[in-house]
Parts: sequence; structure tokens; C-alpha cells
Amino acid sequence: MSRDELEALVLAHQAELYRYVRYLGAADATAAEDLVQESFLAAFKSENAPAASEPARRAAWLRGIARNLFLQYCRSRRTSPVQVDTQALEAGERFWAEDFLRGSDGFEYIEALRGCMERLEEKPRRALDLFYKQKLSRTDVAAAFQMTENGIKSFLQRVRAALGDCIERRVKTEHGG
Amino acid sequence: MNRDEARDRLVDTLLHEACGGEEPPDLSARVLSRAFPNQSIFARGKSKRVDWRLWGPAFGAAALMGIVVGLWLVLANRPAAPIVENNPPEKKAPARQPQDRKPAPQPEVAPQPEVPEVEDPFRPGTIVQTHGEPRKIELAGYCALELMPHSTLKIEQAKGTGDAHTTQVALHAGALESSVEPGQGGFAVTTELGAVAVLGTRFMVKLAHTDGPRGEGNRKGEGRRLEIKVAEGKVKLDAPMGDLILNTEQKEGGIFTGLLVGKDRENKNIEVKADYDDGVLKLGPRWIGGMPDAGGGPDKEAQERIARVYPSHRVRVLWVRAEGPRVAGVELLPPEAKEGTDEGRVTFIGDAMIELRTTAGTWERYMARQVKGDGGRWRPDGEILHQIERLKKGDRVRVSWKYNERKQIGRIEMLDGPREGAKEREGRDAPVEREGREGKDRKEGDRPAQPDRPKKDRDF
Repeated sequence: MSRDELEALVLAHQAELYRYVRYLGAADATAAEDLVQESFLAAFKSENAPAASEPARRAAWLRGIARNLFLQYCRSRRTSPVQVDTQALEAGERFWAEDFLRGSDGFEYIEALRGCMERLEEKPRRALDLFYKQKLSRTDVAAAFQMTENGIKSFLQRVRAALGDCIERRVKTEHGG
Repeated sequence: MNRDEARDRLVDTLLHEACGGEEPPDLSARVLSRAFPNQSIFARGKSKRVDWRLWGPAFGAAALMGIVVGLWLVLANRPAAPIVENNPPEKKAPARQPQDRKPAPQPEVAPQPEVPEVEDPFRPGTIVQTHGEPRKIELAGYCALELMPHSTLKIEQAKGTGDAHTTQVALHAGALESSVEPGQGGFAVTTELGAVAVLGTRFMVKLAHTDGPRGEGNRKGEGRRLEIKVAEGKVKLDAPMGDLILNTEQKEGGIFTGLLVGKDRENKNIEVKADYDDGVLKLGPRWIGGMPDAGGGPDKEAQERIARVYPSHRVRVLWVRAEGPRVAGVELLPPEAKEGTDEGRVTFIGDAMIELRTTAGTWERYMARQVKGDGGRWRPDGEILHQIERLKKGDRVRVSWKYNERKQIGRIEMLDGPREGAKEREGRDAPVEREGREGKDRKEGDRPAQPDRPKKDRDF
């Protein structure tokens, strides 16, 4: 693979691959960046790269590399960030390919999320703002809402579930899924 | 992992990206540098056996000679210092108090005629500082820069040097006028507040100075102001709270930080005390899309961003000038740490809150900390209210705070009383107000009232 070919491969797939390893459970941004870099270097050394004319196959191939590296990464750590095994990762891959990508690049899903966030009421919107944007800990968000830590954890989970339902409705309505 | 878990993880990942700004990074340079490291100058083929008894002394002497010559070449040709200064620093004037600041002058796009030509090569990593005179810098054969007096710039990369595909400089302070030849390569100016990327244009970037050290626990880049003026072509300003395209029609914009003191219920306008000024700016969302009959209207994205900020918080505003400054983006600026201290002059005293003009040149608002009272209701701490009641406008204080939604006062330490002449300067550069001190209409646990100060459309 020439330098230009590798550059084209990275530019085309790095965003999806980064999201993918975060989704699999990479502990933080640094770990995700390392995994993405290692995935591209492994792809660079491989002789089985699908042709550039088949971007979907290339993306799936890269995700397979990233999945294996993520499994190694979890096994190499004494305390794994998430409980993973091959089956769990394959289940995650199915959801990613069928529900998120839907034969495309996931843009519809992300746009649907933005639309659904606009419709959130004040309390869930504020909770998301404090937790995801201002990056307060669950303890601090719980204090801001005068709730227990478990309470705010459940609340955030319910907000995400509601957003997930809303996204699926939107994606199905807008794209006839 | 079942389907619900997978969906929860995916939404969680996308929320980190959508809300937290954790967007996928560009890793191409890092991957490429690892995949194509510099080739060794020594061949890696099978080596033939060498008779070291015969060739050893000769190799040793040659190696020693090589080291000596190499060292001499390096020392003889090394630049004197990585910092390039245009002219000797002037005698420093006594440091001004933040209250003495006047609104910063407008940046000028027109170049000054008596700029000296400089032939020095500027390599990546060089820091260029100017004092009394501007300085011309040529980079990569297509970027002509002029660094204005009292400015600092670092050359980060130049196209054609090493692996660089574009040219990039970091403006640390002052102002920079740039002229970039179209079609020759990319050019970007990074600052603490945002990055300006251009392709074929002439423009000015100005980063206003801070007046002093930022208080403990506060963010880097606060109290600064970025201004961009476009003379030709097109400029894109990338900031955490949005993008802004400036061109010859919409040619002025930038970023400033300040204290959000008010917002209307419809989320149409915000009122901000900008750190570089002493008054209150009233700003609405920018207009996009042309005339109303052509589908134009207020920028909905800017309105959404306005809806997500709350008064009493520090904010960073992305603005564009269109018959006055308009909001293109705004975001909250929570402090970096959960607790800290600030020093400054008291400029406003309200019910259960105070405002300071800090020594870092920022506006800050602090609420009395909340404690649980009878019946479990939260109310402002009586001890802090008592400390606030003893304050006078102009007092110099140190405030210890903890951040919980807002900066909450843990302790107020008096440093000295109102400075001399503060009263005379009120209204010009040290607006000091007091509200609701009698407490006749204040109830325990009530939210503090927002200051009802005159609202005016101030120009920059």
C-alpha cells in the first residue's frame, strides 16, 4: 500500500473507526486514538485489503481489525474497562452495521439524534448538558438535581433509551426503514 | 451484549460527540509518520565479515573526526536563539490595574508603509516577538505575514518543510495581517480561542491581551478576545461552539469571553459583560439566508445555542458583525477545576451574590453557597450573606469558591477597601451597582434577582 493509498484509507474511515472503538468500550479518547492508529497500521501491513472501490467492505474489514485489537487491549489490562468476549463484540458489530450504518455511514442516525435532542424537555436536557458537555461526575450531577448517584445513573439511562426510541422512529419515518 | 445495551452504548458515544465536543480526531499524520518513518542511511543487507584488527583504528579515527566536524558545523551554524525579536523591548510602563483598561482599539487592515523588510528564514518552531515595530514574515513562498507591534507568533509548520502539507502559525498575543496566494496551499492561524483557516485571502487576526494572571481553577484563554477582519477572499473560523465563514460581505467577526448577565425568555437575546469592556452588550442571533421573502431569518442553530446557556455563567461568544454584533454561537465556560480562588474588585452586590472584576481581567459572578435549612429546603448560607452585606463597591477581595452549577462562595477575604478615586471613575470603567440590600422583599431560599441594569446595544 503506497503512502497516498494509506492516507486515503485513513481519511475515509478514521471517523467511523474512532466512533466504533469508543462504542465498543475504549476507556477514553487516548485509548481510542491508539486503537485506531494500530488498526490502520495493521491494515497497512495486511495484504488482504479489499479494493478501494468497495468502501463498505473496507469499513467492515477495518472494524474487524479494530475489534480484534480491542479484545487484545482488554485482555492485556488487569482491569478491563468493560466485560467483553468475542460473542458480545459480534453482537455489537451487528447492531452497528444494521441499525447505525444501515448501508450508509451513520449520518442519518447522528442527524436523528440531533433532532431528538432538540425536543428534549428542560430536565433531561440539563442533565445531558452537565454530564456530557460540562463533564461533571455522576456525583456532581446527582447533587445538582438533589438525587442519589444511582438515581441519576438510571435517569441518564432512561434519557438515552428515550433518545434511542426517538432516533429509531425518525430513521424509520424518514428513510422508510 | 444485547440490543438494548448496544443501543445505549451507541447513544452514549454519540452524546459524548454531540454534547461534549469529543469529535473524531484527525490521525492521518500520526499514522503516516509511523507507517513511513525516515529510512535509515545505513544499508540493512547482509554484512561481510570485517577484519577489525586491521580496520578498527581507521574506523575509530574517522568516527572521531566525523563527530568533531559535525559538532563544529552544528555550533557554527546554529541560530543564536529560537526566539526572534524585532527590536529591543521598550521600557515597560507600570502595570495597569484592570479597572484602568479602556476598550481595545479596532484592528486596522491597512498595512503600515514603513515596515522593514526582513530576510531571515523562519523555520518551524521559531517564536517571533515584536515590540515597538511591526515585522514582515514570508513563509513557504505563498504566505506573506505582517506581525503587528507587541505581538507574539510561533511558526508551527511551513508547507514543504518535513512532512508538512500546509502552513500553520500560532498567534499567542497581538495582531497578525496575512496575505495568502490562492491555490498554493493551506494556511491556518491557531489561537487559544479558535483556529482560522484560509485559502487565498488577505485578513487580519487580532488576539487581545489579558491583564493579569488567571485565578486558580479557571480556564486557559479566558479574558481574551479574537477579532478577524477580512479584506479579500474567504476565512473560516473554527471554534468549539460553531463555525463562522467570513468574506468581503460579512467581513468582521471573532470570539470573546464574558459573563452572561441576562437572557430573555424566548431565547432571542443575551446580555453579556464582555471581558474587554465595562458595559453590557445585548446580542441577538445572526441573520442567515438573505431577505425574509427569500427564506432568510434568525439562525436557528444560534438560537438553540442561546437556549442552552444560563445567566450567571461565564460564556464564550462567537460573533459576527451585521449592523452590530450578532451571535453565531455561544457556549458555557465552566471552570477547569471544581474549586479555586479569584482576586478582584467588587463591582456589583446583589441578593446572595456578588460580581468581581478580577485581576485576570474577567467578569465573575459568585452566588452564596447553598445549605440545607429547616425542612430540608436549600437556602443561601447565612454566614456568606453576612459577609456579602459587609462588602462595599470597590473593595478588593479574594473569593474562595466551589463550582456546583455556578461558582458558589466558600469564603470572602478582604484585601483592602475601595481604591482611591474609584468613585470618580464609576460609570466610566468600574460600574458598581447594588441591589436589594435592604432585604425587604427577599425571602429565604429565593433565587437571587438578576440585576436590572440598563440594556443597550453597545458597539465593539
